Amino acid sequence: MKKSMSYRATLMASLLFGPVTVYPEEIPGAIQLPEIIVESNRSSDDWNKEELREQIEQVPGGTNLIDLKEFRGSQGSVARVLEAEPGIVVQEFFGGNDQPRINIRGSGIQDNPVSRGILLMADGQPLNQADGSFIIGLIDPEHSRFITAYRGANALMQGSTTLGGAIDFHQRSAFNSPENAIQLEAGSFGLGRFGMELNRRKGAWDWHLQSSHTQSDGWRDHSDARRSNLALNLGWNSDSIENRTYLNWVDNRFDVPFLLSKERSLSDPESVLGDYAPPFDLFMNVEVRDPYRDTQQWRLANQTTWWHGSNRHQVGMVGDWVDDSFRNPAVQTNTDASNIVVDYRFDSSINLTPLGHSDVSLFAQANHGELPRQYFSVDPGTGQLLAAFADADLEADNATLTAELQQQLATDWHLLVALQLAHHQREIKDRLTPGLLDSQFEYTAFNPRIGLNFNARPGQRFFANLSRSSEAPTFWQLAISSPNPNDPLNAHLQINDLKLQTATTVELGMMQEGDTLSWQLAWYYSWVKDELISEVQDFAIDGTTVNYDHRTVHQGVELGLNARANPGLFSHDQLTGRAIYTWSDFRFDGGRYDGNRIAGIPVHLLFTELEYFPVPEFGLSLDLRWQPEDTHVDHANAGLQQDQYTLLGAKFSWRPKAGLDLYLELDNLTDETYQTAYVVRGFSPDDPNVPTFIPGPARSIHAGLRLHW
Amino acid sequence: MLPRLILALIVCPLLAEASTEMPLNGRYLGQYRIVMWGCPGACNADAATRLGEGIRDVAWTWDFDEGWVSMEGTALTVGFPYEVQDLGNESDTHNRAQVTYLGDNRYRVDHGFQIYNPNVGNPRTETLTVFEITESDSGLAMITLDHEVDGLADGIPGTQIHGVFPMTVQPQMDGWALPDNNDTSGDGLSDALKLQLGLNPRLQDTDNDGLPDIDELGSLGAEAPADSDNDGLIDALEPGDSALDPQRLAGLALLGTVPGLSTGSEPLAGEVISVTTLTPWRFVQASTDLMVQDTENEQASEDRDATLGAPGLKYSYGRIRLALEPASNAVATDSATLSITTPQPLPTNDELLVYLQTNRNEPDSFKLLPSSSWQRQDDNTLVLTIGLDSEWNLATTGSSRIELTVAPTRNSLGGIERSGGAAFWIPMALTISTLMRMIRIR
Repeated sequence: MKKSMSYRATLMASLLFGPVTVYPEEIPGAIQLPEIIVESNRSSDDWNKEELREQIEQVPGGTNLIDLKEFRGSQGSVARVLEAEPGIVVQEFFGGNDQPRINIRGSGIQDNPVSRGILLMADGQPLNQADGSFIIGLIDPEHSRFITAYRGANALMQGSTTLGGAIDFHQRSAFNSPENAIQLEAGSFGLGRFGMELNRRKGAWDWHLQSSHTQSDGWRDHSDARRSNLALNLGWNSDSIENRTYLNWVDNRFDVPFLLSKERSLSDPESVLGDYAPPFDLFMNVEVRDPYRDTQQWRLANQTTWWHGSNRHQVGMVGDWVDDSFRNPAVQTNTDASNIVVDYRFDSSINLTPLGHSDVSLFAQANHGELPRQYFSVDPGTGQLLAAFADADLEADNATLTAELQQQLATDWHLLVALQLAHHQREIKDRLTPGLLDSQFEYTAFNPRIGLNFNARPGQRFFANLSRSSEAPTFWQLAISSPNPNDPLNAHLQINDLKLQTATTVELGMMQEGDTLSWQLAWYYSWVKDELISEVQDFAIDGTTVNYDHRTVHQGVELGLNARANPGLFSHDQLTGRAIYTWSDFRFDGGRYDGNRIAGIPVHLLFTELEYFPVPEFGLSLDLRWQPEDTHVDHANAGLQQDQYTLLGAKFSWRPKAGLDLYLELDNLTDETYQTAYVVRGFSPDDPNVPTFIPGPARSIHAGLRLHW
Repeated sequence: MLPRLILALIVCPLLAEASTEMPLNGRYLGQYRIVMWGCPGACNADAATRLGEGIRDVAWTWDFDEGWVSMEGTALTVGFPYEVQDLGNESDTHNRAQVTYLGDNRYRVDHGFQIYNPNVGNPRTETLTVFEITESDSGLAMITLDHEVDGLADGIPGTQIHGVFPMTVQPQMDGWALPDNNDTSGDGLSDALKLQLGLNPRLQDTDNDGLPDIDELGSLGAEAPADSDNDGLIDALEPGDSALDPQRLAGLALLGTVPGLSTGSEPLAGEVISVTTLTPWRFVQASTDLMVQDTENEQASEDRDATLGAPGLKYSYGRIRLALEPASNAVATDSATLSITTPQPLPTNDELLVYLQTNRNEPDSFKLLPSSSWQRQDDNTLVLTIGLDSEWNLATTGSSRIELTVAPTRNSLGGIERSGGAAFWIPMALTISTLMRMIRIR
């Protein structure tokens, strides 16, 4: 006889392992459910997607689910796959495998590159380093089959503590991506990409191996980039146990073309500082100073899941080693980091009250990271590195414990109560001058959460939650270098005394899924205390972070709309439309910037796409990305602004025969000159000497094919 | 030619307001320090950036009779030397700039200005600076005025220099001057001589011990001022009995300044410290200086370092150089203990750092002295123990002499300990316990 399980756990197991008979609970007083037998005839893909859909539908807040199998076009960069998702704001940096600015609800948005504020995961296990920072360029979305996002404080159960939430890249496996494949892509600016996938299932074992290489010359001067990676996903399954081992290697290198003034970004956006003769170009000559980032990562992770009765247990371990050299025009940092994570998750379906069904979850995670970092000045005359001006052992430890109860209150009402406890330690030891920089930080947070889900009718859900979140600073904020581009010998490191950022967020929303129209809408309002506000200095090669001494408010609306129709021009034609709108109203409430907008993100951002399939094998689409207003680039909201822009793009996808997919993409069809991103200052004047903007890529075309069998 | 033309266009409106008769006359000697302001954009007070400053106060000479000022240059804290030059930088009087009186105590100086930064081609320009000069009993005070060629003040002292340096800059040069060959204190010693001896030209008794400076100079006068205890500090600076005690230095002014003479550039300028040691040691030399060094005009970037010690720290006490020898007929012990007493409270024990030079031939060889080798005895007293054979002793190896250069400072870069938030383990234990109970209930 099979062991008793709740419906949910049984469904999950049945879809994975085959038909399972469910027996009623044998606890006195338990609600006797009718016996049901679930026969799975779905593919593993669908199972996985259904499981993820079920997971995110239990969240009383904003979430995203991206099925990359349905994604048409290149998946070569994180920016491409996330830029059309409600609530996720993406600003390209240099247009390739570099470091696009990914942001949710304004968390960590002022940093350049954005390296904090959200938790990035691979199959539920963290990609962030122990200090909370991440290197976005290491992520190749093509290794993912699905991406889920838990926006804001809706990621507590994923171990996130931050205001921004979490993005989980669900790795391809022999179950969810059972085909072998070869991919080729080529395009403007010297883009070339090759990828392959191999996988096999045999008995209890399965494996999926994926490798790719990308390179491009970049569209600006000094913007060569290349990335190579390898990913192995090895699994073993029995009736009640699943074990997965992940081995990843990534080598990512790109030149940093750096910033331009507003004037230069309009007149010659492909140029870099040093291409012209004015004193400032000589001063910050990018060709001589040669800024770049070169990162290599090894990551080994294991995750074991087992089911026992209505209980599910999951134990995970991650070790990663990151060798990172990151150089701006004045300073290079070399970090040789190692991180280890252990976590345990427990889910149980029980009946606690006569009101209805209950799900209890517990998630505990501890991690430790050692990130020794050396800091070097760049000789302004030769571009050579001078002797290290700082060398610090950076150690981070974190422990989080999260407990959650989902209680059915009535047939369609579910209450969620959760509590997260988080403890963070950051320790800095000066290796160059022992005793000088030595500092220690300890932060403890207590993040409660309450939420409500109301399923008004099938496919329609209303949700609300009140949550608290917290964010400990990373070492990029705690240990800040103070270089002077012309005074390399007086560069130094300074430890920044920062407090924990905390926020209380209220969120309301709804979502509806239908055959022809689906949409989701979320409104949130966050009161943020001690917000970690970053500002770069004049030359944009150093900056500082402070806890803003008054409250800040993050308010926004995230809207996603999908529509489908059959115009009838052809017998099986289909027309789909998408609209994504994100309103971000982030303001200082008191203090020196009272009433001003927090710089770093556009207030309004709209993405729309219209796609037409005359036949199922061929599709063409037009998309529009519209930032309708100029945006202040500094917290003082002074004169300098990022220009509003409108970008048009087009895609063609064609499946000439089974197992072959072709696509062609055209970006920035009108060749709009615009600024995709910028550095955030406290005060940013409009001056030809002040490098502030990253020009957006010009018109480009690229094409690719995917051969799969 | 073009810069001259531009300058002519700039100064023409000013000449119109120039007054012919200067209210001041004679020659004055003094010092100033430069502050370089930068405008990353439109120049205004909110946006101004302090790019750096001169590493030290440097000399200037004003001659109001002949209408010129001669200004020395020095290194900026960013490592590059600067020069204030005559227009065109072609005359023999290289640093002598023309002074024009504008009325209302305002004086315009037309000068060249050059920064020796080879990375941007050692940029040079011709510009002007307008000073307000006021006279008092203690001499002249020179303040750089916010003066722009369009007549509109921008809120930043100095006059904008556009398009020459990587950003618009404005040099501010504030200082003071005393009449040449003047005897302000009236004790028969000229101001210049008293400054040369490290004495306060405004006082007759610099160390305030009741004995006039001129008497304490001794029979040989300024040629060989008396140092009765041979500790390296002349009697006129050491008050009372300390002038006779070789184990006690008193009246040693910090930062190479003169006791009681505040410059405004350094908070502790003019402040004096005392230093004592124990038998068998006695002091034989003592001096103080800023924690800076000059750099050469054509020096390469990798060698160009104008500040000593750890970059980023502000060495408000500067450096204190001391030499000790055993008293006559005494044998040197393994170490010498020194007590340095400051007039202002020292940084707290957690913040205090003590740097010492480790190589006499390398001015920037300062290292942090382990906290086990010093003690903050009270708010104003620092006690050091220096081993004869330690790396901190700069004297020739094998000699029975101790030489040290010590630089105490406050740690403004690190040493932070922060602990915040709720007690972690109590709510965590409660949560686990509740969860276990819930599962048991089931």
